[in-house]
Order: sequence, then structure tokens, then C-alpha cells
Amino acid sequence: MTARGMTARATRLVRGLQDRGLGVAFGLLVLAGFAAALMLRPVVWPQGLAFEDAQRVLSFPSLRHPMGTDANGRDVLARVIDGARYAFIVPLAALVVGIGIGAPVGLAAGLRGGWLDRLLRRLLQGVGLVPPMLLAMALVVAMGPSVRHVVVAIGLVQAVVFARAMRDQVRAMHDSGFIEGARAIGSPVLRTVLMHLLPNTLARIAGEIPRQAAWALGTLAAMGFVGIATATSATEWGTMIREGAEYLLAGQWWAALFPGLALLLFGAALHTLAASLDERLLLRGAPGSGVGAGGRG
Amino acid sequence: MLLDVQDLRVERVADGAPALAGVSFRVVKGRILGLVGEHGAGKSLTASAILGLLRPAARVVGGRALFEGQDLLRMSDADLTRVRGARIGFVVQSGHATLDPSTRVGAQLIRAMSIHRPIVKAEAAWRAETIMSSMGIPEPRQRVREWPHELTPGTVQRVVVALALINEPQLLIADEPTAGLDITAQMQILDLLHVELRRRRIGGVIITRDLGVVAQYCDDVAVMFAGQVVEQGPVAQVFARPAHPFTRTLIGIMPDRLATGGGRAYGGPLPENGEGCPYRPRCDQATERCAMVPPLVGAGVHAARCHFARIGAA
Amino acid sequence: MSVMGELRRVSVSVGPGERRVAALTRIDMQVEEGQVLGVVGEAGSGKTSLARSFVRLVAPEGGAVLFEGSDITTMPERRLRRLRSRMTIVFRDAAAVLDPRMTARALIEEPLRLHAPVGAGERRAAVDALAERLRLSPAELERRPGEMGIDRLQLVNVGRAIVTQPRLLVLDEPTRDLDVAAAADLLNLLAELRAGGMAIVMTGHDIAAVQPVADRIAVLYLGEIVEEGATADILRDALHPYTQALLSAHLAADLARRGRRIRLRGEPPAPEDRTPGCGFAPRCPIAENRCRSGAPTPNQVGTDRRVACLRVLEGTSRIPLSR
Repeated sequence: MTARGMTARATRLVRGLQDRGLGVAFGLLVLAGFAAALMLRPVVWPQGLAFEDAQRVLSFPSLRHPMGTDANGRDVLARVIDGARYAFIVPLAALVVGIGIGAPVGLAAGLRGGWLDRLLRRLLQGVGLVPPMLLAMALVVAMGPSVRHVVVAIGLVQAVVFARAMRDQVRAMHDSGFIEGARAIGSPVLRTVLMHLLPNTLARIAGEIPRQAAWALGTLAAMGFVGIATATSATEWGTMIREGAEYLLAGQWWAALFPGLALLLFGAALHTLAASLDERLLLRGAPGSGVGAGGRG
Repeated sequence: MLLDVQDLRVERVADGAPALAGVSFRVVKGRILGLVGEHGAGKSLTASAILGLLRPAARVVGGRALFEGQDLLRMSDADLTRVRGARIGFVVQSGHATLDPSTRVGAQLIRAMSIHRPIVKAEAAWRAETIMSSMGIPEPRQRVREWPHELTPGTVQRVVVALALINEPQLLIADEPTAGLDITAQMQILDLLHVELRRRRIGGVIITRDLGVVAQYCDDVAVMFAGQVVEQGPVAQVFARPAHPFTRTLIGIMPDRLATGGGRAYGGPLPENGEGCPYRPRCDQATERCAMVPPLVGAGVHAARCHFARIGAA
Repeated sequence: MSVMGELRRVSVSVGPGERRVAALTRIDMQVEEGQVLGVVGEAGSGKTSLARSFVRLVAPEGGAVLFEGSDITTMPERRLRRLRSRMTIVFRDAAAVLDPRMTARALIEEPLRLHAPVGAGERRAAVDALAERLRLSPAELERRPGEMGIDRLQLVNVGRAIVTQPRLLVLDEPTRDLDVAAAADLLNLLAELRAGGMAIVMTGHDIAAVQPVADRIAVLYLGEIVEEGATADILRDALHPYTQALLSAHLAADLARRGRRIRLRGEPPAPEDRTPGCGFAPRCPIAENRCRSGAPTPNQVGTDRRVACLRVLEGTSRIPLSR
């Protein structure tokens, strides 16, 4: 083993960790931490959330209340942990709505072309004029504040994103001859779509998934912050930040800061996962893209 | 001697694997050298190394590239910049990648001139038109005002040749100058290069995968395989008496020579790196001796790197 | 000899909506059992449309497509599908056609799964036997397209097309991106397949690309056949000016041919720029006024040749080579 070989090997190792290992590990660790806290809290500390102490309103973080209490005397730590429930469920449910509607529409538009494709593009152009977060908020306002409506609104906006991504991928594979290649060996259209087209296109829009989840999380918090996410006060981070913010100027920062930090950490985890997923997909390459092909280049 | 490349060694930065394992060849003033080999043999890499364009993927680890007596491999970046595009012209594979899409053709030619010397604008514009017309581009006065995307692929390649020649270099390196062009456009570009190099009495290197380009347009040939030059010599001599088995194969499978149905395999994956002759896995004359590094057989103008090479009529 | 694939006065248009242009105009062509037909044309000549027409991947606007003597011009896709084990096509860009998630073995096996009522063991054996013939190593069979060079990947692409032992094999510029040695190997394989009775249509942008294996050569220009005949006849005595120009552009091993060229003006035009009269007239070195008004039709010359040139009948179509 030469010295040069050793250095090259070490460089590769570090870069590998940076590229994938660390990013993925950080993202997964954070998400797993939140999930574990969410599940363990009722077991370890069953009375935490129910705790309401009129004597200890807005008390400074202490051993008893590590993140202090809020204006109603509720424990902030317990509520921050419980807030992860929304952080998991809302983006996930919205993704189901978004992919469930967007992927089939994009697939159909990409495969068929023609009027369906033109209609989709018009729709995308129209929707593209409005900032997506504003659009989602407007939908919630129209339907009335509730978590279910938040999910539907975010999901619908994301359906547009997924439809576009899917349509572009399918179109690219159509134009590069991939679909005709399958037809030329006598593969029925439905089989080509299910066995070849969908796995490849889904793999390539997979990079969007954590990114969209992060966006959904941010939008949920924004809705909570302006007070349209839920009808009543909920243990949702954005809502908690709004409620705590009233006392910020008075020097009682903890009721707003800790939910804010949780939001930041959760969002960062999703973004890191998105970034490392993108990199992997890029490395793997795809038909027609030329990336990764031509091993002798 | 215009360019004398001696034992050029290049390795990949990522894993330290050798990419060029001692490339040597010579370019004589007034003659055209064909540098021929397969995909991945190291042809383009050789050109990049000579022109100092390897980074960041690869680096030079040995050898010399003497251009008019100066070693290009040891030249500072500033000096190299003065050589590149001025004393050595370069034509790359994809013409469209060379041209700046947001600058009119004439302005690009003028810019190429003004980089290397102060020039009066009116004179530069006149020279741009003149060189376009000498490249066989009809209506140069209109063409100089056009954008690259408005040109046909053949015209793009003519403009790229014009860019390489406009500073009157002593050496022109053309890396697969006709890749992707149709056959009639390919002939036009090769004719153009041939005529211009002859007229200017400068040296030329044409990098190609097609031995036909060498047969029809070059004076000398250097055959590359797996990062080495395995045979070099004057075209007439090499075609009449190829000394290396790879050269023999390449000539034997040219369209007007190939007899199909012989059942023999000519291609194959590149061999693993290791000692001995790299062509051994594909060679039908290989013996145990080929596990040893083959010597350079022959002297002077025609030489080959093979244990069994016989140079000359003997 | 029975005719395997045939085009009868086939016309094809390509492109979307109002930008639709004629890619092929009234093409007559056929390929017999045990015969290789080479189709030569530059960009925009219609050679890809022609390749796709032979296996009915495009539906012609006029004329008829025949396979093994039966008309498949209007055959519904469901029935065509069953024929696609016996008439197959290889596209130029293997990386674009092959599923990047599948191994070479799975890719070659797929047509058998679709068409042959045989078990996994038999399929495996068939792929192994074919791989040996293609000189793909067992290790290569387990690789995915992204892990293979274009030369090797094209072998997988060809393997997929011949694993069902088709009667008609069409290849669209299969050697264009390959190294010369890999291209020679592919031509050798085609010669073997021909010996087994397969009918083969192969396109190229250059006569040299098809010459070593083609029995007959057809030259396309702007969607029309300008010359068609036996390979040896065309190489010895090309009659159409365009064929002569293509031959003179030949990058041959023969050093004596140096500098002997027919130089054409300009570049191959796009189909939408076609002028009336003979399509080649704007670039033809010996065009006359009548060539720009009257369009020549392919005329039988001698017993075995078709040439579409007004000057051929008078015997004045040969161009002296200039140095």
C-alpha cells in the first residue's frame, strides 16, 4: 500500500461520509429522535401534557419544567414533543394526497400528450402565478380552519408539483425512445407503464418527496402562526410560536423559542435527506441522460 | 521538430489510476499527424495534457511536451495562456460547446484576436470576414452578424476552425473535428483542415477513431491503445507494413477491407491494468512473452511497441 | 427466396400538428430471407422512419407494409404485438431504450418472458447461450446499463432483438456510436444471422457503415430512394450523382483514393426545405435546368438497379473525380 493510495482512500472515505453518510444519518437521527420522544412521552411522563398550573404561568425553564411553562401554565417541553405529531402526520398525509392525484395526472399527460397535456400546462401556468404558500392558505381559508383542510390544501398544491415532475419525466422517456423500445419487443402499454415507466419516473421524482415534506411542514407552521391551521388552540408548533410570541417583548422567550427550534431542526432534517437523495439519484443516472452511462468514457 | 511529446504520464486524481502510461510522439512542421485509437484510449486526454487543460480530473505525473523547444508541461499558467489559442490552435469535438451562444459569430472571432494582441477594431472586423470567407462560408458579411444557433452544424464547425486559425498558430490540434457530422459535411471539414494546414505550412494533429481519416488526410500516424502509443510512423509505411497487431486489426477491419463471417472478435472490454502488453487479451498472437513489458522496436520514423514487431521490409 | 419484409409505395409524415413534414415519399423496398439490405442516408433522409416502417412502429399515410407476405398496414396493435417476436428492431441509442434498473440478463430475457411459453430454466439457458454468441461475459450479464460502455450495451440491445429468433431484424444506425472493432464484431454477427436465414435491414449515414455486410444498398435522400442495387454494382459503378458523392467521401484504407473527391455544396436540407423538381438538384454538381422542374422517378436501369436521375437514361450521370 503506497502512501498515495492511502491518502486517496482516506479522501474517498471522508467525502463518502460527507456526501451521504453524515447527511442521511443526521436526518434520520433527528426524525427518529422526535418519533421516539413522541411515543415515549405518554409512558414516561403521562401527566406532562395534561399539566396545567395556574400558579406557574410563564415560569422560567427549571428542572421541573425544562422548557418553562406557557401563558396557560402548560409545560412547553411536553407540548413541543407532542407537536411532532402534526409535523409527522400533516406532511405525510399531504404527500399521499399530492402524489395520489399528481402522479396519475402527470403520467397521463406525459403519455397521451395532446389536449390533456396542454390543459395541464395551462393549469400549471395559472397556478404558477400565485406563490404556493399563499395558494394553500387561501384554500384553507375558503374551506375553513381544520387540520383535515390543511392536509387537503397542501396536498392539492403539491399535486401540481408532482404532476409537473411526473409529466416531464414521462415525456423525456417518451421522447428518448424508451416507450417505443418497449413497444418494439411487444410489451403491452399497461405493462410498460407499470413495470418500466413508473419505477423509473418515481425513482427520479423521489428526490422531491422530502423537499415537499419540508415545504408542507413550513406551510403548516405558517398557517398555525397566522391562526388558520386549527379552530382551537392545538399543540402545533406554529400555533405555539404565535401564542408565545405575545410575551416575547416582555422577556418571556421560552414559550416561542423552543417550538421554533423544534421546527427548525425537523425542517433541517428533511432538507438534508432531500439533498443526499438528490445526489444519489444523480449518481445513479438515468436513460437518455447520459449520466453514468458509457463506463469507458 | 514542432512538438515532441516524450513519455507523457497522466493519472486520475480521484483514485491515482494511470490514464496515460508513457505517450510519445512527434509532430513535424508542415505535416499532419493522425492520433488514432478507441474510445478511452487517451487521445483527448493527451491533447488536454499538452494544452494544460487536465484539471481537476487528472494530473500530469511525468514526461515532457516540447513545443518549439519549450516544455509545455512545466510552463506557468500565464505563459500557457499566451501559447494556447495563439501559437497552438485547438478544435474540439463539439463545435457548439466552443462557441459562446450569446455572442455573434464575428464578435467571437474579434475577441479571439484581441485576447492575444492589441488590434484596431476595423482591422479585426475585416480579418474576421476574410477568414470566414477563406473557410468556405458563403456570404461572410451576413454570417458574422449571426448567432451560433442560426448556423448549420457544418458551418458551426467551420467557424470553430476559423477561431483556431485566426491567430495564425504554428500548430493546430483538432480533437475529432467531425464527430456527429454527416458524411458529406465531414468530408468538407476534413478537406478544409487539410487545405488550410498545407497552405499555412504549419503542423497539425487530428485526433480520430477512424483510421480512414488518417489514410485520406494525414502524413503520419500514431496509434494509441490503453494510454500508450503502440505504433507510430509515416502513413504510407504503416499502412503498407503495420508492425503492431492492433494496427493490423484496425486496418483489416476498415470497410473496404473487412470480410465478414470470419467469426473472429476484434473488440472487447479494455484490459485490466497490469504488467505486460495491454493489447494481450485481444491479441491473437499473444504468447507468454507478452506478460512482459514489450520493447519499442524500430528506430527513426517507424516504431512499434510489440515483442514481435518487425519494422521495414526485412 | 421468400420476401420477409416489404414496403409498397409507403409514405410517412412526422412531426406535430402543423409542422408535419413528409419523411418518406412512396418508397418501394423489400428484403428477402437470408439477405442484408443496407439503407444509407444522411440526417433528414428518412432512414429512421424507414426502419420503423418495416416493423410497423409507424403507420404509413399511404401504401402498404407487408411482413412474410401478409399486409400489416392496418393491423391493430394487439395483433401486431404477437408478431413482435418475429420482426424486431434495434435502435441506435441503447442507453435511451434500455431500462436502467434492469440487469443485462433481465433485459435480454424480457422478450422471452413476453412471447415464449417456456420456464425460467429454459429462458436462462437461452440467454446464456446467446450471451456466449455475443461474447458477453457472465459478469457483464449481471451489470446494469449505467455500468456498461456503449459498445457492450449495444450488444445487449441487439441480444434483446434476436433472442426470440426473429425472421426480420431491422437495425437503425447500430454502429454509429461504436468503436471500429466493436462495429466490425457487430457486422460479423449480422453475417452469421444472415447465414441462418434472417432477413436484415440496416441503416447507416455512410455507405462504409453497411458495405461489408449488405447484399443490396439503397440510398435515401429527402425521403426518396435515389439509387438501389446490388452492393458490388453500386461500389463499382454508382450512377446517381449523390451516390457517387457519398462514395467519394468514403474514408477508405486505399491511399490511392486520396484527394479524389466530389465536393457537394452545402449540407443535407431539412425535409421542409425541399424544392420542387429533383430534391438533390440544389446540391448536384451536374444539375441542369430540367432537374429543377421535373422530379425524376426511380427508373429501372439494366436488370437489377433503380436510379432516380434524369441524366441516367442518357448515360451522362457520371461525375469525373476532381483532385
